[in-house]
Amino acid sequence: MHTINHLYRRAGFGATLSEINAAVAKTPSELIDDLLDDKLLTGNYLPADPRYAFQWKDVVPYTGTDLYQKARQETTYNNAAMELRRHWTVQMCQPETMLREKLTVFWMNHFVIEARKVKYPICIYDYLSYFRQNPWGNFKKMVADVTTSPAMLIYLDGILNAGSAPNENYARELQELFTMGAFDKNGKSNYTQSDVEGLAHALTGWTVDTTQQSPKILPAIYNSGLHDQSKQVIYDNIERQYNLTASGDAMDKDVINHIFEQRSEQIAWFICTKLYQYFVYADTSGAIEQAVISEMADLLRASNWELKPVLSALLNSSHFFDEENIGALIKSPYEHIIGLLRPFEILLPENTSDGQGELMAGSLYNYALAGSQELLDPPNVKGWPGYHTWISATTLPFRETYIQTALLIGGNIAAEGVDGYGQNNYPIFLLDGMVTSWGQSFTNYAGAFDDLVHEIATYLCAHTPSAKALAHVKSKFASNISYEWSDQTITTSERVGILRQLANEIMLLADYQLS
Amino acid sequence: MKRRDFIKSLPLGVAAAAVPFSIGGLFSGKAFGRSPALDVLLNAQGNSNNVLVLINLQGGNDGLNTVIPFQDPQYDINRKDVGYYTPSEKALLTPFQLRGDLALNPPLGTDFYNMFKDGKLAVLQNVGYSNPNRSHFRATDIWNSASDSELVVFTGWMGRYLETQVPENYPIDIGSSPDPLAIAIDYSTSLVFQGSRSVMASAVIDPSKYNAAQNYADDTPPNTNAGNELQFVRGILTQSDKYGKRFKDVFALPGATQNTVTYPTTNPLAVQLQKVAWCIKAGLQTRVYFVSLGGFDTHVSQYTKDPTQGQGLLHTYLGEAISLFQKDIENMNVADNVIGMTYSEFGRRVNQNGSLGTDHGTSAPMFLFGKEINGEVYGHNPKLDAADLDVYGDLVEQFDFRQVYASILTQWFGIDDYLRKSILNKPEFTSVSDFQSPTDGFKFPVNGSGTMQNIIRNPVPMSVSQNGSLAFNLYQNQPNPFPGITTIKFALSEGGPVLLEVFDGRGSLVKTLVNGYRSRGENQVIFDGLALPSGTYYCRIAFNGKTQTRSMTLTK
Repeated sequence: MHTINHLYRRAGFGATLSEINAAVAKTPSELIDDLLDDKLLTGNYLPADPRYAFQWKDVVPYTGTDLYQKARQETTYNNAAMELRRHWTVQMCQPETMLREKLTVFWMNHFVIEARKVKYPICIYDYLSYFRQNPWGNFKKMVADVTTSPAMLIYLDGILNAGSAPNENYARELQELFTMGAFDKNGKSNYTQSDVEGLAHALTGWTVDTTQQSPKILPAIYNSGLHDQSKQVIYDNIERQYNLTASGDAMDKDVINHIFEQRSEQIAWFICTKLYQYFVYADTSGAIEQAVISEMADLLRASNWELKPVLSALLNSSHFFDEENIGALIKSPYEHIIGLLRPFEILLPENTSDGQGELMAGSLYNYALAGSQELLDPPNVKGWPGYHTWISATTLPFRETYIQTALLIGGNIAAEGVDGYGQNNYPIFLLDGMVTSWGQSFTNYAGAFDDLVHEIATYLCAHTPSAKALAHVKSKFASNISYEWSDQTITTSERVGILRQLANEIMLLADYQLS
Repeated sequence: MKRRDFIKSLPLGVAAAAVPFSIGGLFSGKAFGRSPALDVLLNAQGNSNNVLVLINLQGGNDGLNTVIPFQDPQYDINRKDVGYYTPSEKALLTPFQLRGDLALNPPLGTDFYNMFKDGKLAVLQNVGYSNPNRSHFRATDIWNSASDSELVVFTGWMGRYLETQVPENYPIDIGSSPDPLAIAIDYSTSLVFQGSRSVMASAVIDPSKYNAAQNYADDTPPNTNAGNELQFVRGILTQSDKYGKRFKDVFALPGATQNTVTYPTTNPLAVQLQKVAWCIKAGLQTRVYFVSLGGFDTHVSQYTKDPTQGQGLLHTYLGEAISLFQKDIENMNVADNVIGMTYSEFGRRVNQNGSLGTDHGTSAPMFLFGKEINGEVYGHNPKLDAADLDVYGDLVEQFDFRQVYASILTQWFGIDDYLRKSILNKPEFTSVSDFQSPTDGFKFPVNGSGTMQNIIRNPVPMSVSQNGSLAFNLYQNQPNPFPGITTIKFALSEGGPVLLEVFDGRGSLVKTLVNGYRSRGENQVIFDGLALPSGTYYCRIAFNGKTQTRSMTLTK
């Protein structure tokens, strides 16, 4: 149970006790196959479009100077971004597709875009949906697709990178952040400033057509007139004419192929390091970590950049389940927030006609924001650094407020605010009945209080908290609590109060911040 | 980056009194606490109230359009579309001239310009470092860690400085100061505050609304990855608990959140500096504040001249926020011990790009401000002729940024030579003149030539070593990474017993290099790792009850 809990926390956002109990009958490898099942990327497993997509899907960018029209457009963008965040949050709460969504978060924080710059909702939505549909696809294809995606072309100025006056923005980040990193594993630079400039020239030619109307506006298009066809030297001292994938031009070399040929080892090591840090542990400087990453990188190259075998191998490895690393990740704000909902079986329903799940997700937005994670708008092109930066003397008290509000203050987790479409966000209630059935799912509900504390803390935290920590939890109760809990005359509602307090105290432990 | 578990697995308790030196006397009567040397350093000079405000301009501020060499014909050629080109554009610069051939970007504002006129604003031109890196993230790390371009250092220069001011097990034990040593007005802190053991700053968005986290005593977690992270969270809990209670008291006092000026809520930098002003006025013993302004990565549509968008808007924010802050703390009579410094990871390419913007470049100007700043222009104008640029068309620096850091550490915080060298990762670094520019001690050339002058008006007297107190510094081994053999140097302010040991990545002792008396000044020892596997090793020196550790990379 300890290990299944670990798997579901890492490969998803936590699990209910009943989900964990159901999983006990299967082998880890079967569970991982279920999580990585390709059927989850198709048909009804994919979410329906956001409810108000019709309001922004076909909005043609306004290019005039009328301030009112401009402001209206900004409002549309902001509303759409909020809706996309809520829509995405609902997906994170669905158990079956948890790994798909966990990876979508990963890719959106790897191939970073920021809504505040990209603006056009359809581009952002298409971009996000791409990762949802290809979360464990082919990494090289991902890089190629991202390079010519409207969202990325807008975000890193590809649309302005034209002809003989290139803009280096994408060429630099493509190398530094999206493929190989600035340095290889020995600390040697992977590219020079000349490579950046050469690549910027080679990547010219793509733009976004903002004039085309329905059925789908804002497509990325290749325009040979914008492509600098002069010869470039990139990495290998050979002058070549480069084209971009799918451009159809008969040139010497496809530029993405060239990057993956020339820097194959570096790319594999870089992306596998990031995956390792996301799923196992942030600090990869040790010899064991390096050995595991090397194996992952070899596998990625051997599988011709297919990610699924690598993810499957990592999650199936004994290293992934090593006690050393269980509880060694620091929860992101969304992992923390959703991690509280899941154990209590609080559901954010998807695809309902009244948008209930989305409106509930809207209530969670402010907590994530207070924890410094606003989906679709990471701090910069490198994304959230995560790890220790998630926890500070500022964010930790916010997390505590959320826990206390959720568990103690009548269970009305959050209800503030009206969305851009005039609807109130839905409050999320942790009702007394939910607390009771949650409590009853533990074997020691009818047993001794000390055993119950131990059992619940073991379930909620990655490791059983220390004896002192558990003593601290118990110190928050009156000294006769053990006696009272076992007393047959104690009422159900009194038990609810105790359970709320108990969950609250456990979740305020440092242990609960870890995954 | 295996700092934490490494430290935990070292026999830390052995560090001070129990080190088995054969020579007695030095440690007698001394417990594990702060050494007298450090106490002298901290308290004897009466400077413990000096405050530094770091203002980080994120994204790479275009220096050529911040401090503008508008008379240079090369400026016109390179900046036709993103600068002040036409006569009418140039006329806009007239009220903002620093001298006949140099002006501040007008959106910085008259109030900011007047700080220069009043002698409170120093403009340092051409600050950078050799072999500049053009990655946002690497370049930011270089500025924050104060490392050479090629050397990856995982601690920050302020972290290393502040670490000398606290007990070894900070933040579990926060020492004598009731306040955070440093405050970042942000959700998380910056590398600049990373010490070798823990982060030396608290991230606080709004100290007046601070909500303390609950803390509790706990057992020491196991020495595993998971245990180390648990320890990390508990450290933050402790900080939050202790400082939170203190903030609550401080900001409950009447008038604690009043200012004498109005900081516009629409100015993202001003709202941060407003909170810094509260903290200073409240008398917090915080030494360093960190605020930041993002958005300087102007590849596209730079809008330098337009105070309402692009770089122009950011300069509006910057100039307005700094001038309001300075006015505010002066009105409140708390300005005497406060200076501020702006820095950005790089300037931008001399030649504009094809998108009405500029790409990543190299050196750029810095601003230092405050009543204790000698407000002048330091350094010559940027040399824009093609022959003076590097092969990529970027500026070549005149000053190394660590010259500025050195001035601050020495003349503002009163740090002595040995500690400063350690903090700045420059073994050979004894004064500003170690860098290429002709300088005199910590003085910089006013207007690029002629008079040499300190940036700090009344330098805090530097002491310690001269007073016979004990300080030391372990330098980074050379070469590093090393193929097998490397040289480790260390310096002592006085002769005394030294223990120098090498540990592997798991914290096991590999070799004892020195265990005995060494003389004053620089000492060196060869470390032979030919028989060892590649990996990260740690060299630790113990001297006078204190330790210092450096990592070394063996690459075969």
